[in-house]
Amino acid sequence: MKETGNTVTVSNRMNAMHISSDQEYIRNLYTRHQDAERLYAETRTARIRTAMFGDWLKNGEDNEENELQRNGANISPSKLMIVERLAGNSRQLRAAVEELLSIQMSLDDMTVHSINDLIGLMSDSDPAIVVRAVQRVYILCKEDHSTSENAHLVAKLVEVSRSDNIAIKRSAMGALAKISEHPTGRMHLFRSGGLVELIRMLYCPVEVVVRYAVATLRNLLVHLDSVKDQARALGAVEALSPLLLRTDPRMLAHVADSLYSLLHEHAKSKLDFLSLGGPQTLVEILNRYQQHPKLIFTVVRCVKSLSVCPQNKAALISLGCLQALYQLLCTSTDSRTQLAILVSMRNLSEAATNEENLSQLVKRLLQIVRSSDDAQHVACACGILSNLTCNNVRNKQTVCSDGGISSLVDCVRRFPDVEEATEPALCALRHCTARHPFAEQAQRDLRLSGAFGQLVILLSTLRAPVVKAALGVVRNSALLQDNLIELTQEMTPTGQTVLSLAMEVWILAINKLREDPNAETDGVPMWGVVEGAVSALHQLATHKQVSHDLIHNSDALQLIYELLRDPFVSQSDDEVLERELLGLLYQISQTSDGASAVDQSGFASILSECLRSQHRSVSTYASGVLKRLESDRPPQYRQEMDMEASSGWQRDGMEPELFSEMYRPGSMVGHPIGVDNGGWYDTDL
Amino acid sequence: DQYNIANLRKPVMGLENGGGLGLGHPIAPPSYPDRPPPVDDALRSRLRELESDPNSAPFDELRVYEDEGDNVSMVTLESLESQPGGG
Repeated sequence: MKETGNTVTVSNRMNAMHISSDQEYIRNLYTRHQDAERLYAETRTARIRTAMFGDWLKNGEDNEENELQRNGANISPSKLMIVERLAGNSRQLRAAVEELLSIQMSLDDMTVHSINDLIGLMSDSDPAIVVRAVQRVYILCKEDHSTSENAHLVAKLVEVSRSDNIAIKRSAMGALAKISEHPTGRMHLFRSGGLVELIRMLYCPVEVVVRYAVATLRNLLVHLDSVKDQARALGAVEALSPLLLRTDPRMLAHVADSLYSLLHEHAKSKLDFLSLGGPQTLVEILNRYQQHPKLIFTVVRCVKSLSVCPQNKAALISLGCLQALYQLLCTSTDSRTQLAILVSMRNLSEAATNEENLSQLVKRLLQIVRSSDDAQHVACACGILSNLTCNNVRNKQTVCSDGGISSLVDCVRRFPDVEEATEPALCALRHCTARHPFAEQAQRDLRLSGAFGQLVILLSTLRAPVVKAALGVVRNSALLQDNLIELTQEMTPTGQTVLSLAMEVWILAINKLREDPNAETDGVPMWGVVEGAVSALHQLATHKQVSHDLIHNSDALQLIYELLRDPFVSQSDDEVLERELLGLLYQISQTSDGASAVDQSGFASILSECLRSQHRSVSTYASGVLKRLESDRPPQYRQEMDMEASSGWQRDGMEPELFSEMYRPGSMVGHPIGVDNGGWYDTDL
Repeated sequence: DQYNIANLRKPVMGLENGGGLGLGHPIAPPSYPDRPPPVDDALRSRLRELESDPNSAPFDELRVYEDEGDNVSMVTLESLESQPGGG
């Protein structure tokens, strides 16, 4: 003990003294007492100072005090002097004051220096210090955007975000979320390997960490293209998809937006998402969160991306996605959302032809066709209608009974230069004027709504997709006898008619096919254009005037002859073109002028071959034409013709050889008749 | 196919009427024991069927649209309402 030590010192001094007198002794004793008092007081001060302000001592300052300190350090708390025990509270108080002072300082003084200090403190071994440092950094990041410029800080935050300490993780993620709002910050974050951490944190059980991670990830994905592939490789789609089951609209919107970046133009991600059950969750969100327009927009965009993928198309339709989109189309007020809905629907429509409950949607689309001034919206609506009316009787009827024919004609009139609208509008008109109970009324509606004027204008553009569609509408219009006069008299300002335009298109297409047998223009095969032109002319030729014009149009018979001799036509599995050519020839040959023109053009041998066609329609038309040509022939020939004609259409699928084996009809094969070798058809064919 | 079943009857030639090969003989019109309908009528009805055949061209067509739309336009989600207690 210190006191003991001092007492010993005193007594030693006493032993060493000469005792001269009592008085001197007393004086000495008093002096020594005073010395001892002074000494004790000094050590007490030192002890208190040591206890309370130990960090003020400097090395080698005072041996005695150092000694006291050393001794004090070896005392167990139970044997602490009262001074030391009292000192404990004041020390805590002092620490609290210091902390407050330092926080105040860091908030007032946002210099790069203090940031560097914080970076240092974030490496501290004491978690409590790290927590405080990261919290301070988080506050700084919220208040000062320049923190995002500091690459060291970002790297350190990414490092500490791996901590198991939730307080540290949370603040670090909060800070990174703030940093990711700035371009430089995003770059530093990406370069510090933050992407791996962010995706891993999507699985964190602490909701607020997930929230920060999603927001940060979205900022990276939306702004940095280079991030996307890496994020996909790191399993971002798998990590994000389950988060669509959360209920916070803001979080859902961030998740959907992130997913959109990953799904957009990336086929494999779309399939991955499908295998995770993603489409179903999206449709549920569309049905459940209609009060949150922004969330809906982000989700519709995901649907739009998915809807170009065949597998996702089918899934979305079976999940009732079209109905969900229809509901939103009715409630949404935002033009951008509406367009995304319409584009999605148009992508899906091709796979929805067998859906039976789309009448409301069809009516809604017609409303857009009628009233929208936005060409893109109208184009989408027409495209959807074109697909929904493909081989779907109910949808065709809905269009017709809802005044859709005149709406579509008006639409073509309003947007004549928007091919993305006119082409599908024409296809929808074509679909609705054939093969359903209201088809004839629809053909009449075409005339009543002034469609024919539009048809010649559109034909005169000579744009392959438009022309092909328009020819189909012309053909169906011509099915109705009442339409024929008006249809054939309609003219463009330059005097072109349906007939002259159909011939022009036909010749143009043939010229292209002469250069290249597989010619296409704007994705339209020229064979399809030829087919459309011939098919339209076939119906138009039921009008006597047209038939008459065609007889005197050397091009027409020449083209028919050329095509019937083309192996591509006669040996095709598809009988359509051959059938239409013969149908056209049949119509032309109905008048005696026509019959003799056909006869003089040397068709007999071709027609004889056509009699043996595997296609009943082809052999029947050939028989019909040959019957017409008979009138100039001797009786003997007529008898043979009878046999020939009957055999042609009564074989009922028997092989020609077998049939002639069994029934031995008179055969004309190899006996071409009436071939005019001086005819035009021998030249340059 | 919808057509008159009567038209399906096939003419059968008796052998005594010079069935065989009949080479060098002028070909005689076959004799029909029970008078099938004359060719003209049958042909005419077949042609009428063809001319009014609703299943002739042009067929309905589907167009496959693959439009992913705009080049990832930015959405601002800052104003998006969040549930209470959101981060």
